[in-house]
Amino acid sequence: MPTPPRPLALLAELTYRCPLKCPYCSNPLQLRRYAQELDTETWKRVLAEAASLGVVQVHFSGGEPMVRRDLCELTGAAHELQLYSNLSTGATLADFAKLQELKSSGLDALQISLLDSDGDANDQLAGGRSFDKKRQAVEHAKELEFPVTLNVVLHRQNLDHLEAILDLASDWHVDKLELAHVQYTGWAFLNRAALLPNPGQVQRASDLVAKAREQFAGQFEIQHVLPDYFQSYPKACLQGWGQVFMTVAPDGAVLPCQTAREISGLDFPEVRTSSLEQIWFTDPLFQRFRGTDWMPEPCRSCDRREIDFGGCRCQAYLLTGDVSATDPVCHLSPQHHLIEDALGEAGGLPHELSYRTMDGAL
Amino acid sequence: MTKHETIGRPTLAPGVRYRWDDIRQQHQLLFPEGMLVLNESGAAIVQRCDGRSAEAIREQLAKLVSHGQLDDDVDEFLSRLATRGWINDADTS
Repeated sequence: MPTPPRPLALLAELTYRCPLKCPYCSNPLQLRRYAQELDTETWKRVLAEAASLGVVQVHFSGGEPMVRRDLCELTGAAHELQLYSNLSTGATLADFAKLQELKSSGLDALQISLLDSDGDANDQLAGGRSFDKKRQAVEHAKELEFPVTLNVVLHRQNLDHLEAILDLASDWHVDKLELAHVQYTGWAFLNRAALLPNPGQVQRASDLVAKAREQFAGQFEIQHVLPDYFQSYPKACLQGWGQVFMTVAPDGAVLPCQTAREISGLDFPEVRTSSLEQIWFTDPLFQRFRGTDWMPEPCRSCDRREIDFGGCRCQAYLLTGDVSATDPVCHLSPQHHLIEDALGEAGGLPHELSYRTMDGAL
Repeated sequence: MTKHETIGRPTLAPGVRYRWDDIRQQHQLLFPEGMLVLNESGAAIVQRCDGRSAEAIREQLAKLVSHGQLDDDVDEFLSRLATRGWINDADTS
């Protein structure tokens, strides 16, 4: 097997603690199991190891990374290591003083989540008051000259507000609007029937985004990540397993993908006992789905095997129980009917949302 | 910004950074969630986007490259970066 390229990006999930309860959270369902967080010194070592391994960008995330008291120390360490740093936050703790401190530490860019265009709808979905704080945080961040990306996760319950979301991004003067449809893993998989949109909503969203790209050209950029359940081919998950990305979870587990903990039976390496370099180049988990040798048919002989890499391993496992299966999103998958069934069931009956809690899913 | 608008005094936009990657031996322009790998002349231009005039950058680059005639390249390159929002013009801000 050829030597893999060095990773470009590290997702540093500093904590799974979060004041919000978004029902599509990408964190694991059994959060309590991973409550023991790495200390400041270990995180600093991880950042240094990431820089020597070739990581260029570090993405501080969570949970809510701003609950960590040492956040500025860590963004400062990243800056000294010449890593480009992004912070992904729900912004409920992002007052002006805190953002100013982060700016001084060398943090480069901010991503602020928003759940809906309307304050009440946002707060209801987040399981707590947060809309006004998000608006203020964007304002402060722009005043401090941070590039700001507004992240809105799209689904059945907010897709009809997309026009208002686009106007709001314009009013708030963000630099970029990321419109990513829910990926159905983790908490979102649990809430799939309530979150999956109908095909009309998806089409309308694409039309609106095309129009908005013209209307807001030169003002802000729009990234639209389409829902893979509505595609013929799976997404190029991670740009290939163990090719570009690595995630360090709050407890020190190193994951090829942040949702890989949903796959049972995998052994995750740990920063407490190995270096990132050892893990990236030699750990069996990182080798497991590299390249194309592991692929079953129809992927193995498919022309697109190096375009989409067989799709998402977490999704294949969640839907089929076989982590090596072709992602059922692919219309060539022998189990594609699982996607069609889910689309058929979506929105048929009123579904109660399960909100993310530290105690995990019931 | 229109495609061929000339830039008076280019500066890197907030959150955009130049970096030399020692491991990959390459020049990089970093911005939120992405990067551009620069060639030698791209790096020479970007490293001079500090508020000096585009004209000064052209002159300095022409000295660096013996065959000269870089004017169009510099303007086109700057205009391309400006379209993506990676550089601003200190003359117009």
